[in-house]
Amino acid sequence: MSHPEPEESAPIRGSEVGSHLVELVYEQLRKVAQLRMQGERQGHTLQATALVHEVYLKLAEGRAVPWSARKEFYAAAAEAMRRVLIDHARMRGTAKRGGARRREVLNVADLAQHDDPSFALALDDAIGRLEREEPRAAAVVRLRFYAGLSVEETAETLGQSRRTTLRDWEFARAWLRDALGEGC
Amino acid sequence: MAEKTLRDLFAEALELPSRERESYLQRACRGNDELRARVLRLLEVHERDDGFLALPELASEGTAELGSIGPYTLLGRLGEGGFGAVYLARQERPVRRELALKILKGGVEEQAIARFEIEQRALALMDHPCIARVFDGGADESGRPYLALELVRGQPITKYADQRGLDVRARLELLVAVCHGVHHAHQKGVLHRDLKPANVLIAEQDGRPAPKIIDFGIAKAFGALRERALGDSPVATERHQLLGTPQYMSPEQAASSPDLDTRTDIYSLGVLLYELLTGATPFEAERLRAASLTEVQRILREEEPVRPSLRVAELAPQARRALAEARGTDAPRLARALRGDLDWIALKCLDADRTRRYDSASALALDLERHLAGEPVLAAPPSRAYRLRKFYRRHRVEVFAGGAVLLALLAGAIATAIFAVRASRRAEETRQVAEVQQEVLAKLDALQMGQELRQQFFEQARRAWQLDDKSAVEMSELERKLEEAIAEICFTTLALQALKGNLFKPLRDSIEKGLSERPLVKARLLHHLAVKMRRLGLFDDALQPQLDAVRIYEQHLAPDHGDLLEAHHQLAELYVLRLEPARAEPHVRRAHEGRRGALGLDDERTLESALLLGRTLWRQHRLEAAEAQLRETLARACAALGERHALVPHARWRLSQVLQGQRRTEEALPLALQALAALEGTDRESRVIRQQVAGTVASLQELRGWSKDSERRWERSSMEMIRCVGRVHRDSLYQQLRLEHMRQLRGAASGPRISELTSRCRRVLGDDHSDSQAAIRLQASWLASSGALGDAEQLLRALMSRERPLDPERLWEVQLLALQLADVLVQRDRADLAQALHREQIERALRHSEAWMGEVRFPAFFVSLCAHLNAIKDDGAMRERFLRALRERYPAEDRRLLEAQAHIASHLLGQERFDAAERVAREALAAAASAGREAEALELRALLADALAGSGRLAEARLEYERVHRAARDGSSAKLAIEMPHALGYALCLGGLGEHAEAERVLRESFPAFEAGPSAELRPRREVVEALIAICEARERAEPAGDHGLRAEPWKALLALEG
Repeated sequence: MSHPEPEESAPIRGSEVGSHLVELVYEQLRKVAQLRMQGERQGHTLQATALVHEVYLKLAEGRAVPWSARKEFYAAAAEAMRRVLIDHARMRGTAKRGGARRREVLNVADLAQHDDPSFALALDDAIGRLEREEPRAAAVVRLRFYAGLSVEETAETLGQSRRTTLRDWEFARAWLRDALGEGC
Repeated sequence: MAEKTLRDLFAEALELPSRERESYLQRACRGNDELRARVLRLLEVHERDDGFLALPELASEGTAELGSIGPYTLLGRLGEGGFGAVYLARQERPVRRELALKILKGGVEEQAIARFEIEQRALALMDHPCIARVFDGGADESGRPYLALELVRGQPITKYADQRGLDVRARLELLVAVCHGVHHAHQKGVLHRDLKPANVLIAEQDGRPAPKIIDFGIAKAFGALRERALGDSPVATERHQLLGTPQYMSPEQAASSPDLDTRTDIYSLGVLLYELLTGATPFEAERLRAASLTEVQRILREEEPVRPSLRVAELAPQARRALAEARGTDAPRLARALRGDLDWIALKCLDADRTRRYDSASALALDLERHLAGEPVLAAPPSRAYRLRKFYRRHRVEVFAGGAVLLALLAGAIATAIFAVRASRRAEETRQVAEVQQEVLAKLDALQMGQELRQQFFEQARRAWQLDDKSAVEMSELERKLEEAIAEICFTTLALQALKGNLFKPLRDSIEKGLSERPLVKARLLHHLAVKMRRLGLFDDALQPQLDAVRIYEQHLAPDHGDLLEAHHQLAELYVLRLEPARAEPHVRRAHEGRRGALGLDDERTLESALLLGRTLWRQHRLEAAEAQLRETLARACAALGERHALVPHARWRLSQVLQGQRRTEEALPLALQALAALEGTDRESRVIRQQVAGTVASLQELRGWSKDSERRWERSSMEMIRCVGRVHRDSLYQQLRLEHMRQLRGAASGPRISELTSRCRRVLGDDHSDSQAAIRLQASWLASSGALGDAEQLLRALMSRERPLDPERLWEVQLLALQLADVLVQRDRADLAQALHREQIERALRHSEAWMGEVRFPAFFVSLCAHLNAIKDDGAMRERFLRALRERYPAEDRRLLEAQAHIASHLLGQERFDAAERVAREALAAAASAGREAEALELRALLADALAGSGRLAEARLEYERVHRAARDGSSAKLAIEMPHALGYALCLGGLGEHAEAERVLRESFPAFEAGPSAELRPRREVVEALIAICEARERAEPAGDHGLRAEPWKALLALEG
């Protein structure tokens, strides 16, 4: 039951992703996200999956994006999305505006509209700490949360099994909740 | 045991029922209480899930993950695809049923929804048991597009087939049903675009497999939405596909072609077929995933999938067994089942050129059914020529439209003139017409015409595109494609055909009809016409008018009239070029004698005929007579016309060819080099001849052993020839062929280059031309050497089975072909068939001995016939019959008989049948020596010595070697041909007798270049080096202390380097 998983592929760290690709994705994501955040119907803004797929399509257009580079692309997308959110949060200011509870943060859209802009920064900081302790679990979070990948896609991107990924994900969720404390 | 991490402990504890977790962690944390406490805390947090980061991918509203959409209640999640998630849903009204609900990820704009609904209505038209129904589609209140689909509970077709161990027949039957479904959808105008096992499910109904294709047209329907979302980019829909799995995708789809049609699905069906048969997709998923987009496109476009049978054959034995077992059979049976029909059916589906795929899914189904019923299938081994023919057929009308009109006008003008002068009795006018015709013909240049045709072709295409309002970018792209498509079309050949049909034929008709009362004018025009056609390479068409001209002149002119003699000369030239030298001889003799009488021996024209006579004799392999004739012609030409006259190098070249035929390489080479240096003309004809001479030089140098230099020479001469006459001219083809042949010999051939060359030869020269046959043989040999033995066999068999008249001149080609086929058969473990083939060829040769013993291309025929003889395993009975037939035909000292005996002796040596070799060599040697045939005697003696040495009679061998060696040292003409191997034999023999010093002396004398040590420039044959090492080692062993000079080490190193 508890034999170790065979896959040993290196997890993706935000800092390791080719910075050029991140810039490229970031630029695109920011544009698309800005458009989306300007008064579109609620619930349809900033959905990570849709955004990332769109940006992927835009970038892939007319360019030879290697199939193998999808891994890097998603990592870059996660990193770029993280920056979009951080930028967005900084723009909104860091003042705490009252009692938002984190359970409302179901996805990046919620994060972007979180009553407390500093929450995005706190979450990012927590993910950074998780990365130091359990790099693979942090990579799963980045891909799942920031790039909006499904468990299957994340597993494929990281080259590990679905089960491992799911466990990583459950672990990371619990870890982050624990780290962010109950009531913030 | 390594310390478990927090994450691992968490994950492992999570697997356990909650009451067991405590005790598990107690054990696993081994006293690390802090760690245990952390895990427990995380587990606790996990249990109290408050939805943080729950990422419900569907419900962006943030309500419950499952709810309802439109009229459907979501019951559970079935899976996720490239576009969105699929849910199990329930419909309450109008009927209560369960169905699959496919919901697009992300939001879309409202306008797009309308298009989506149009698409979905098209999908609803499909009604076929093999296609999952599309019930409904649209968008819910919040704008989420969805499709309601028939719920299919089944397994992917490949998985189903493997799990049930379906045999090949059952698999094919399943696929046939799938094809019918696909065909139905195609008839409704719907493409699937994403056929793959996951979309072809097999459910069981009443215990029978029932295929259901799901997601038909879904890609397009959702793509319509995506397109909007991406801002109307027309290729976005297809671009989308690249997010999917490329191994099932047609090349055009991977290339984001905007005009996909039903044949993209045919391709995917081909992949399914391939996978059902072989367990793998044509191109490995791994490889495609690792490749860049452009690389994927290139692979799909350019690489040809391995045939299914070969793919299976290439598997490791264990995997092959497993694969066969999953198909209810064993490996050999499986291979047999796939080979042939199924190979070709799969490859036909998978052709990168969609015009060569089945044109409908039902055509594919039909072919599969034919195969199942044991009937012949439509699919056939692909041929490269096919595509060209197809293109050619499509475009020939346009191609000829431009050129033909012009030619018809030209022919018309001349014909009118001919009719105009028919009535006229005035000699002046007659002469004028003849001159007009001559002038017009003189200007004809098929190459240039070809270029013009090509230009016209492009102009017409451009005009058509302009009418279609193509943009400049599109036009240049189209042009590039067109350029690519017609790269293989020889416009020179087209021009020639146009000339034949539109100029030469009408011209000849009008000459025949219009000038029956003016025979001399008629003969003159016919003569010029024939000469022109001959110069253009139309040997067949030229023959009749040339014969007519001679006949008419004979009737009306004095026997020594210049025009008559010229006509005879030209007819002889034509016969020589047609490789009918015996027919040429009386005519060239007529011309020569007539001119000698009328003009004198030293006249230019007399000498031209003398030269042609020499060539005629050479072509008949009457080499002594040819040599005498050419030597005399050369001497006279030098004296009478001067060294600088073009006839002189020409004569030298021809003489060198005769000497080459006599194996007098050392004499031939300087003559050819001299000729090459003297040919200075810069017009095309001189350049062509120069390259032909360069070819002779190169092949002479080849006889002295391969060197980089001779290959470079061929390369250069081939390039130059291409520049002169184009890539598709017969002369340049010959040069290219020689070059490729040489590369093949040293294992540096390129398959694509060879097959390109072959198809060019076949197109330009026709399948029956000697060079085409040589090219096909070369291709077969390349195929065989690269492991495609089946293909090689097929090619050779097709060539063998061609109907051909018994042409003694070309018997050798059949012999050679059979030899090659036998070789392939042996490699395919069919030695029995090979033996039968050898026997058949020899029997045939013996049956027709009268035909080939006459004036055939003797050596070529002979070499291959002897090879057949030597391959037969029958204790020499065939050999004896063959020698008997030769002895009956030729006197004992005849060169041909001697040569045959030398061949046989040398093959017997190769088989280490030394006694038999000795017998044959001795008998022939006696005959050769008594007839004073020095060169032959020398070679036979060397063979005798080899035979003696081989049977261990070293002392006797030494005597014979000594005589050979001495004669060779004395500068005999045959020196070079025999020196190298036999000097080595001599040295080895001496070494064997313990006379190492003497052996070394022989080596030093015979191979001065060896002293310099191994070098890249010198690449002696392997066995020579091996012999050298053996001697050196023997000597080092015998005299370990001595200074050996020549040492084995560097040669061993060289051998190791060469692998």
